[in-house]
Amino acid sequence: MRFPCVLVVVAAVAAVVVVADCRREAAHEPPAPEADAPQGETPWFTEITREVGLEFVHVSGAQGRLLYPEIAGSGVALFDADNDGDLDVYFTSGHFGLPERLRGDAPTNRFFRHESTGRFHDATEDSGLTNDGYGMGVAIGDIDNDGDLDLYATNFGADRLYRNRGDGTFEDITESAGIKVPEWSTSAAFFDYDRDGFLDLYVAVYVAYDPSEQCFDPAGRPDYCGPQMFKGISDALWHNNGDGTFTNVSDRAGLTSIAMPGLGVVCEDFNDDGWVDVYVANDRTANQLWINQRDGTFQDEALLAGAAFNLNGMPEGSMGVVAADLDNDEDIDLFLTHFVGESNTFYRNLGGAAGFEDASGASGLSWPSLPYTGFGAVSLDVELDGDLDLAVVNGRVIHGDLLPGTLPPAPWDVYCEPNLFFLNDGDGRFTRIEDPVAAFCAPIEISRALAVGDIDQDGDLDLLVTNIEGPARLYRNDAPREGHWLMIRAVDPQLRRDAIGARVTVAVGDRRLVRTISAGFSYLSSNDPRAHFGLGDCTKVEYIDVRWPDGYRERFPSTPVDRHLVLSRGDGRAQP
Amino acid sequence: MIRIFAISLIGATLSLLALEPAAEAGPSTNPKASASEWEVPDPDTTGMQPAVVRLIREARGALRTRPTSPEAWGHLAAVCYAHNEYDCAEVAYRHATELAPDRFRWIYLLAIVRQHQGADPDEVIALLQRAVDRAPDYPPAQYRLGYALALRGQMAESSEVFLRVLELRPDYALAHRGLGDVLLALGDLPRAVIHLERAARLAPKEGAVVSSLARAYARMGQKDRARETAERAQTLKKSHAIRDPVHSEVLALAVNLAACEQRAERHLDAGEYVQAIPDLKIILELQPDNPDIHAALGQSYRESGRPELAITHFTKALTLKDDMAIAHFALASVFLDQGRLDDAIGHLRKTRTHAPEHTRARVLLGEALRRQGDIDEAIAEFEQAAKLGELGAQAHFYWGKALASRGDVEQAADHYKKATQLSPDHADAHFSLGFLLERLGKMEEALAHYRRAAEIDPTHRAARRLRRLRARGRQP
Repeated sequence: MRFPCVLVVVAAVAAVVVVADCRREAAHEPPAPEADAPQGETPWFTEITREVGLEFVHVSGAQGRLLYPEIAGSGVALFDADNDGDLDVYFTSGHFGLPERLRGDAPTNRFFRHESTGRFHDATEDSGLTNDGYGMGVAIGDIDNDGDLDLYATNFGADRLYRNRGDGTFEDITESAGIKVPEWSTSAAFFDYDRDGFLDLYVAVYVAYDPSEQCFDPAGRPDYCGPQMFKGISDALWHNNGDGTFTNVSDRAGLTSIAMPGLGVVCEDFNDDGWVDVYVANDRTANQLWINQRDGTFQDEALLAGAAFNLNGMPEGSMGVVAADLDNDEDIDLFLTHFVGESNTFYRNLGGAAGFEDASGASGLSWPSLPYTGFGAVSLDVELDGDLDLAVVNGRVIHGDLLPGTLPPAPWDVYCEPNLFFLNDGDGRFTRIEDPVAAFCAPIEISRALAVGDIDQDGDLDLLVTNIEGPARLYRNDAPREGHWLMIRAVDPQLRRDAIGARVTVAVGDRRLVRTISAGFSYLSSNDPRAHFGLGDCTKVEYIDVRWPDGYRERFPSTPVDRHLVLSRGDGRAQP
Repeated sequence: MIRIFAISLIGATLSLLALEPAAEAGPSTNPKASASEWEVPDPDTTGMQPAVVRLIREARGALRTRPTSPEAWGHLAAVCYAHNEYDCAEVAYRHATELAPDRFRWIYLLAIVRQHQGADPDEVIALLQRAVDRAPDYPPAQYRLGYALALRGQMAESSEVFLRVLELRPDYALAHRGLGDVLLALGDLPRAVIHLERAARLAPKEGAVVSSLARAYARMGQKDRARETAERAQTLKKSHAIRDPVHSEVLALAVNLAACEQRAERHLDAGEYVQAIPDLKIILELQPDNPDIHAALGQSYRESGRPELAITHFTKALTLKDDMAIAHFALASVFLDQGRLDDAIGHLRKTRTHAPEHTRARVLLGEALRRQGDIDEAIAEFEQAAKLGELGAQAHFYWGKALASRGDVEQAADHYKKATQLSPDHADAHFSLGFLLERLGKMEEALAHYRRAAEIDPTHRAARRLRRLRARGRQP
């Protein structure tokens, strides 16, 4: 839906008034949007993977034993590893040593550096990212407030933490940091739950897998097991001590009272009290909404908040999770991807402490997802019309009927599914579209992670998909633009890093658009943390409010549109 | 994936045409006329369990002889559905529906398959509506229709469907639950609470209902009640719990390992040994060297009155796992039934070796030895069994019998007494004690024990003994 702007005339005048408090990035200044670009035939996405040299193929290491981790993995991170202003890429992958690692196997996770030419090159060897575990997910954050991004890799087996040396190369500090997560961990996210200025770490942990357990499909063919065969494991919360070490505070925080198979995690302030909470997507069990009690502890309020079970009171096989204002009412909703036969679920935030309601049916998101097993999911304003659309990647975990056009060969072909794309009509009702987004939806593969970011720095968001036993695919957003845009970094100069968890509200026309500075969402993914806004017809932003992670509020004045902004704490006007 | 082949049965078609009413509007409008040319879905059975392959082959084979039978098409569809072969199920249900357009069953099951396949909601809802029209008094179909409408966001229409179900069945918990959930979504909190409370009363152990109720209380701002209800919900199991006999019949066709294991376990727990046998045989086909399954099958044959087959499977179990005490014991029991004392004693001794605390085995071993005349060895077993405690009354009873059989009447009486003390309702012990006391001339005491035995079991031979004594004038 095109987002109208009532102040479009005055905005044209105001656009020339540059507000000195807002520093703009000079590099990669994008061209002005082509407001009248033809829409009929233009594909909204173009796959540019090979064109930019991002050639990565996931290795499952499968050798016919149908070991559970083989069907789970393949995470990805989009992050600026070398502080050169563009997004580099880190892929996780498996190895041939399941269930016990074989010595001598080369690491298969790969790091690609984004060059100024726009191309990527495989810089794994000299990056120091030597993770030799069976790779799952990845979380990105500046753990030591030194201005560069560090990397946490989850594994089936011991996780690894890498500190950025400042030049885009890394050192493994897992042991010295005191991190020990030996189980099968999946998604992870950095966030500052205690407002001490250092990023803490939440790690979703899956199940106590026993490789000797054999599973079969309903016709008796050997197949991958499901989570119900194994015990769930409590997630882990690691407190950043600020001195390069972490302490496991899971027990003290109250997390160990529950042991569920965690797959997706997102950290957000769901009840709008200024403290960041945690939502965990669990496989075939109740999801958790860990509400921050502001004293270092959390309480699971998911059931009472209406976000544990679907409309029918049932747990679902939750995988990926998005937290964003999907219905443009200034609070943070949830969208979850699920197992085949279960709909993807849209939990609409009712505001404040009122909790959520399952609005999947009314939103139009449920029915189209029934035949698919969803994993990665992201929200993005694909055509810059002022609302958030949804992209979902799919792929089975148990085999099913072979779909025509499947890309991978047997035995993987029976796990493949197409992806989904939903267009928001502006108030949280979605329509599945196929033709314009065929490049993204049509490849029938076993997709898992989905990351979003402005890879070509042109002001719209691009998509990166990983596939089990298949190539990663990078899709450039070429959607005809229906409006203007703004992309915001919120930086705390004292902490020398992005203010992960900051809530950014942009006032345009009579609307206020809300985004969060956040990297950890989707499935096994870390995303471009910048807050991206499609603005519709509006050519001017009235003001920008930032609620920093410690609750301090600032207002930044009017700014022209169609640019990347860096908002620096202290440069705005304090707000009550 | 499905392979298709055409039925080529001209002769069969001709003979069937003679039985069916003549087509009035030509083959294109009479499905029965063209049914013999329909392609029969042929799922790719590569890697499937042999029992599943057999079942599919049989269902397909039935269509060769009965291509115009909606039941035959429906059966193939059901077999396919039960094993997740949805494309096959869809094609076959469609044909069953064409052949019997007024039958509720095929339309209903087709709707379920199509929903699972993610078909267009209009199609699924139309099919469910057709099914409901044909069986308006079958609540599970109404429930599915209501839920499908809710999935499409048609909350008002969904609530109307649930209300119609409740007109038919005011105590249908699922409809109260569905209506409550939909009203919650519609923001009609007071009515949502009414229906969810009703559902929770009707299905108090249903976690999903109680969860929804907790959510409703929370939305109403009743925090304490919400918390209390949420805590209760967390202790309950959550399931869709659609008691849907039509759908359940289809699922019951599954012959995969998990389904067979579940069914066999359920039957064995319920003592339904005859019913357990087919599933155990399928499991054994897949796990021919599983001693536990051989033992379970042996037990089922024994309880079904087929001792030779029982012996075969117990013996096989022991070939695979010689230290399997339970199989030794079960095999000994069969031999005891057959009076094969030597064989029984051999396996009871092995039971004792592998499970020294198996009290029942010791008691049986002692009794077998007693019957064979090895009284001292028998007494040693009873003594050990009595020490173990679990079957003390039995141990003392048989111990008494052993002593009595070699003439140690007073000692025997002591053990019978001990047995009656440990188990006051042990009719045999009372009777045997009475018998010894009678022999010892203690008639009053003897009569008391006969009477007690007859009280416990009026058909017990103690009652006959009393009648006989009365006839002889030996008791008042």
